[in-house]
Amino acid sequence: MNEEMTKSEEQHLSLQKALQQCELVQNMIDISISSLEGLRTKCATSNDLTQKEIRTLEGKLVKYFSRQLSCKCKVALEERSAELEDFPRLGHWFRIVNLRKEVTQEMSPGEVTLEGLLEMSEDQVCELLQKFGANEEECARLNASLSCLRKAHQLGKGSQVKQDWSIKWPTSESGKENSPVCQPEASQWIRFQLSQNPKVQSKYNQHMCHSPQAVASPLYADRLTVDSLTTGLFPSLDSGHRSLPPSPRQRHFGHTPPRTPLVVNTMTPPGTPPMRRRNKVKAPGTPPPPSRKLIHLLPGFTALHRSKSHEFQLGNRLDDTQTPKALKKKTKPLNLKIHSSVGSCENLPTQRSPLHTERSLRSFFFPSFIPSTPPVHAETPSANTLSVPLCVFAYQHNTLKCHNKCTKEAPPCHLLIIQRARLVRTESVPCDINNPLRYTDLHISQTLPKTNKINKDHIPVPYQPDSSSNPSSTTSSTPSSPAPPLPSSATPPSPLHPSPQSARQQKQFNLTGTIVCHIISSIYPDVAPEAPPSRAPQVILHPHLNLAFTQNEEGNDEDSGDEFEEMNLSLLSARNFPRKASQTSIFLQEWDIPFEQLEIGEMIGKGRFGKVFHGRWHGEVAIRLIDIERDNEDQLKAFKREVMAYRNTRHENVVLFMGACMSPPHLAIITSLCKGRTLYSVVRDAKVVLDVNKTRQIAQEMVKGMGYLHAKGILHKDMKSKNVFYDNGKVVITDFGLFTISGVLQAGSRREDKLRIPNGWLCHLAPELIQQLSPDTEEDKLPFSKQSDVFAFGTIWYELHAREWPYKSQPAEVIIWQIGSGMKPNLAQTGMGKEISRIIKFCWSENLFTLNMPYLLEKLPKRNRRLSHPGHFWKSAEYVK
Amino acid sequence: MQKRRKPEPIQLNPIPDGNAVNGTGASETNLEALQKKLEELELDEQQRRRLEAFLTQKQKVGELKDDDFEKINELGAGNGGVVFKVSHRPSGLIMARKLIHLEIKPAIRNQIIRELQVLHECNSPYIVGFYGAFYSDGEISICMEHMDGGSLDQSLKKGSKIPEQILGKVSIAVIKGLSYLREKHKIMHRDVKPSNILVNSRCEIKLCDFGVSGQLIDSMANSFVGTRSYMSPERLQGTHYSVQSDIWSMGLSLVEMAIGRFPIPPPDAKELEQIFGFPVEGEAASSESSSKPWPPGKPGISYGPDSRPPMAIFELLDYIVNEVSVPTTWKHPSIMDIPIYSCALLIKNPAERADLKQLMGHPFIKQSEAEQVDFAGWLCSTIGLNQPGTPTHGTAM
Repeated sequence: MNEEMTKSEEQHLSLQKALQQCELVQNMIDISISSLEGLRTKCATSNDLTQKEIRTLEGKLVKYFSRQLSCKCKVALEERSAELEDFPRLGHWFRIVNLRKEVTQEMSPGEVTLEGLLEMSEDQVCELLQKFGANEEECARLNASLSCLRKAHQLGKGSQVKQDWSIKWPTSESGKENSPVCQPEASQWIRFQLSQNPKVQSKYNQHMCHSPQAVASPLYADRLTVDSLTTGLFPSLDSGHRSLPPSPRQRHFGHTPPRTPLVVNTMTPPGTPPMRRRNKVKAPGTPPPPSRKLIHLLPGFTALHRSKSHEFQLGNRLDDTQTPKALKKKTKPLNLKIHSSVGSCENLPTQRSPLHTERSLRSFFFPSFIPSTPPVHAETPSANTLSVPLCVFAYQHNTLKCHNKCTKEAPPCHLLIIQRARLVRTESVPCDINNPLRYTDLHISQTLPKTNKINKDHIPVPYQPDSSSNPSSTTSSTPSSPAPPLPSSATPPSPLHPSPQSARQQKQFNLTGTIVCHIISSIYPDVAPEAPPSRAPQVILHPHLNLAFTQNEEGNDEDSGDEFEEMNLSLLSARNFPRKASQTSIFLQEWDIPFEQLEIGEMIGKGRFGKVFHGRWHGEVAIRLIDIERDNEDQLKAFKREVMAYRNTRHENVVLFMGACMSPPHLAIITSLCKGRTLYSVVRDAKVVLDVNKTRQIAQEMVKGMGYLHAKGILHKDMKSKNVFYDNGKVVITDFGLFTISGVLQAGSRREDKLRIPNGWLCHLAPELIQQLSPDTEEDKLPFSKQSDVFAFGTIWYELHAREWPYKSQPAEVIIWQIGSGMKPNLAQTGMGKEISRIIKFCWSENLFTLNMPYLLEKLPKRNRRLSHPGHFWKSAEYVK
Repeated sequence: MQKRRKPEPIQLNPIPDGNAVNGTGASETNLEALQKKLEELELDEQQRRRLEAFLTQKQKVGELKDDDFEKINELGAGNGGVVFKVSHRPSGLIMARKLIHLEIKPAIRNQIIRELQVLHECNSPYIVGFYGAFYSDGEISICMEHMDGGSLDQSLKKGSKIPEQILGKVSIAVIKGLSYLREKHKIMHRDVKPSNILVNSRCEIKLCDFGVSGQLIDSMANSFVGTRSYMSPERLQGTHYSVQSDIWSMGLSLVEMAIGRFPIPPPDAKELEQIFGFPVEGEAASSESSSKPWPPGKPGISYGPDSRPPMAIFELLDYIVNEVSVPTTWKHPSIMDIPIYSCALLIKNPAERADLKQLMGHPFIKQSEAEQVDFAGWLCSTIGLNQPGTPTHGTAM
């Protein structure tokens, strides 16, 4: 997609071209939105970096939408095809605005269009939306976003001026009108702050705009507020550098260790840090989600300062989160110094509790530190919002300081994970690092126990359904970018390399280019008491955020390039550091393999979704020809979506994705050719001896592969022994994620009112999946999750020992009822050892909190834990015996 | 060349089998032994003659080969296979040929064919006749007697409810068929449901598709599960099950046929009224022609007036296991004998459930046995079949 589409070109857009453009842009919208949602929910939104990133994304999204509108406009009304009419998609816009599902579901498709909304007046929009049950806040948000889009669209037609189109959400703060473009309409979006009644507030806020910090509503006063420094004016200079103004209550300076010349403040005073070059200022902070369930929020971010030492500075402040009184409290910001290099962080255990994060960080950095602020939950159960320290690494000379070694060996890994407070375990296999919670997992925390004993390892994360009534110092107060009301936070899928050696590799960074490392903590919802102590929050150097404040001495101009590009680079492929513009045609095209280039050989297998062929494409490959119904747009899209997800999977236990043919009717996925044979046939080969050592090793490899996929945000969905290749000790997982497009349950293979059930499938399905099956089940509607993958793994583990599927020869109904109602096969009958059945039981258990790969990995081979190399395992296991 | 399961197979013809699976061992058919067997069955004259005629015809068939068949039309798709009406050219017989696609090793395939040979021994007026099974080209073929009336499932779709007099006859046939399988072959059916009860214009009602080959079941690539399940609670729960489980299935089938829809989830009061509408009157003789509010066609899918969303499969099964037996909640006066009698069949505890013997002695069955029913008339009017020339009135089952 190139920005430089000239006007004349645009005018000549044929329908085809317009459609193409729209689709292309749609891709980016998809990605941006998911990133946006990720940021809104998973990251600490009070953090101003995150805020900025969110702003940026929102701005981009506005632009994308406006671009789609433009493309569409170029096609005469009567020439538009239904496909084109599909753009821009209102549903996506609603996601940006974050209308509740209940609202959007009310609308029947086609009833409302984005263009229609754009043409309506605000009141009309409100009226319309309220019909669907939207509340005023939502209307206001929608209006704010619409007005921005309107502007963008109008202005965008004429010029390609780079402008900040970030949406000005209705806000409780003032000084939002920092975008010249949107300013004229500022009043529209500002009026909703603080009050349920927009109309009443309107004036007030308009007034407020001009004296941003003059009034702070008590409601918000204790929140972190990030205000625009410059009141109301948004300088259009590109070189302008901005720091986010601190909220009134945040203006505590970080304690600066005397030794360090650098100051990392938890709050940046109005001053502009000299390093920030990019004009990335957004309207202050993304506001808190309407019903925030985030448990932790970053207390505020600090500006970056150039470090003269090789030390990282960590701004760490413990926020008192409970009451407005906190405003007055002297919270002592911590200014932390990490003396060692990044490498020292790598093995910190992960943990789930936000508070714990803080503590572990603290204890990590300052082992003897006694928090001046007592743990929040200890004081009041309602104080649910925990702050999480945000660490900023100062950098020097564009480069993070790292072990030389690390820098050398650095894989393209941008994340730094601080796992555990205890530095003891240096070799342990990382757990949750590889497994940041995904969107889909978040529901879990809704069932979090509300009260937990506080102990060192398990810090309760009180569940807070709605923090808006629970003022918290860590809640960002600035205009809300609506975030889905998700309960817990998590990091976006981490590109971390989770190979068995990852413990070592974590210390490695790829520091090519300029980096600003941003540590965010991803908090896992606290786990049931029996949760392992090793769940630690993840502290991650967040790759996305670098754009916002990259200090790039060499290439100022580079990142003034196409914003699409940036987005692509930063978001699409989290692994890629910003690259030059020339390298940017990522997206699907990069992975598209022309069908003609493939040399298809003999069939080597038959999967659910089609046949697998041996083939050649720059060497031997496996070609999966996908049968999808022709003209099935949804399936095609699903296919492309899956392909997008596979691009960056590189793990020794995961089949190497090489590319895909993406133009119907030739749809294929090209992967490396798996050697050996499927676990399915190995297990059923009576000649193969599978002792516990062997099965354990196989399982371990599988778990590593799956843990990796999960960390990448990919669910396997069809984990079974037929999808695992085994070759002389090596284990490779294939066919992940394809289930959704497998068509197993699709209408074509369905008979009348019956659901086709492939042999051996049911016993891999977790109860929650099996309960959902019905003749009209659609693959992609099944609630797959990491837990359901773990369940399926349990079945494979069973199969490895029983050498047969559980429920073998049972009619489908029997399996459905038994699994669905939580019955387990009688393991005693199979003659499995205790340890083996323990793992099966674990995988099949319903303890959703602990059902994840990293935990499983810990559970699996007790003896192996100390060993970092699986290869050594057998020997040592024997010794141990 | 192969071992038969039963030492003395009643074998009328050399085992038909395309791929040298098996045995021509019984080439000298022992008609006399067979006749002796048939005598034990307490057949009436007509049944005996028909059975003998079938067996005689079957002798002429010889080895079944793929080439010898000519497809006439598709009869339907059953669990795991498609059934065609075919003509067997050498003998001129019309058969029903079920094709099951299986990608399996020859050894497994042979085992399946072997297991299916048991069917040769199943000669009963209540069991669909078996001509033979063979493998060809990736598919197992099972050739059976063609029943021109199709399955009761099909009748149900065409004509909503099935009148209770007919159901009386159906009950008798099913009970006798199950008894036969159990007593003579020590097997249970395992899959009693309307679609496995076939009828023809000669007023015969027969069971088909009972599980004789475990290997065949295991080898199926897919199974199909829908909104109807006839499986007994004890079987779903994985506990020991017996022929009593078949009785459950029969009970559920009978209720379904009586009310014209699969009884789970149970109809609410309003729907019941619709089903049995204008109570009491006319149920006795002419219900086959009475107009039904129930939309024909899709028992089990349409949920009638109670527009509840369709149940998930698990929900349905869980209902079977955990909820009260269906018909006991129906206290509507118009529900006649069938459902009440079905109550006895749908008791969750298999030990309390009526067994085959008790059922044979049930007043309803007794009464039905004595009854003269124009079965052929009903069938023909329901499925639009031309009455065959042969006199079929006065069915005495």
